[in-house]
Amino acid sequence: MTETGSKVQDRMDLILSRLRTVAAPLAGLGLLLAAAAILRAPEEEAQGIVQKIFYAHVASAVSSYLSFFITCAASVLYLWKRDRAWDFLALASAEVGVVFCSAVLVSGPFWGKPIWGTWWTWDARLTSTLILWLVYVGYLLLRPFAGEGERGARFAAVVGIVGFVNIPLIHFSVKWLRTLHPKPIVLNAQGPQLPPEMMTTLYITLGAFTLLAITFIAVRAEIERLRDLASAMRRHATKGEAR
Amino acid sequence: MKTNLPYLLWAYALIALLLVGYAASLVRRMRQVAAELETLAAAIRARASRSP
Repeated sequence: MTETGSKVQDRMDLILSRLRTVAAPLAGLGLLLAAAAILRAPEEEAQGIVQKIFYAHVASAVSSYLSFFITCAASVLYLWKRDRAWDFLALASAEVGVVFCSAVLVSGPFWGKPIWGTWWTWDARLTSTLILWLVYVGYLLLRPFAGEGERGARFAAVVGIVGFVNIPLIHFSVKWLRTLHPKPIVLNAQGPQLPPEMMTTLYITLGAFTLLAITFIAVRAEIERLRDLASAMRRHATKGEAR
Repeated sequence: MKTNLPYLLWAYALIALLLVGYAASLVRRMRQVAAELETLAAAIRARASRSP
């Protein structure tokens, strides 16, 4: 299935257009609520105001993991079903994942400098996150070089799946290895280790960033579908001129 | 602790710049592809009206 108009594509269009309609205003509202919650959240005693970077840093990380998970799942479905609709979704979520992963890599050093005394250290968590970012930047760069058609999509799907293997390694790196990066304080065996006000702020920021990621993915996938339609129409127009 | 405020502001400013910049790039690309589709549709319609 290479051109527009498959059953999967029609169903996906419906879902994505509904997501755009619902998620976009909710994301806007969520971001306003998150900003207010971050301003009102109490300052952590030891770290002071700079600890508030944590809310957007963690929310960006979760949004990037979610996006890369969608890339991986859509890539598996593309290799299985060979329907371009899955490839469009994989590409869209990989791009959005890179944006949120960049937010993680950009915000982290501004916390690291005042708390650790350094902008960057080759710690397991930091290095594995940088590798994740590089793999998916590679995924995006590979696509135009590997060709527009099925061949490029197939190569990209393999990279999209292999890249996801890094995410469990990133999560467990702070448990398995001696690292400078803080241990998980929400997802741990003892339950969340944050005061309720900070926990609420984190949940609101997480919700807002997740909705924003979903909106971005839905819009980006639609752009890719329309580009595919445009290239089909261009071929149709050129064929007509040749006759 | 107040001396740490610029770190917080820089971090949030860069995150905002990234997200707003990406949203703007999506809007620009959406407009571009919509304009291209309109041009192609007009070309196909014009050719169809010319053909006997």
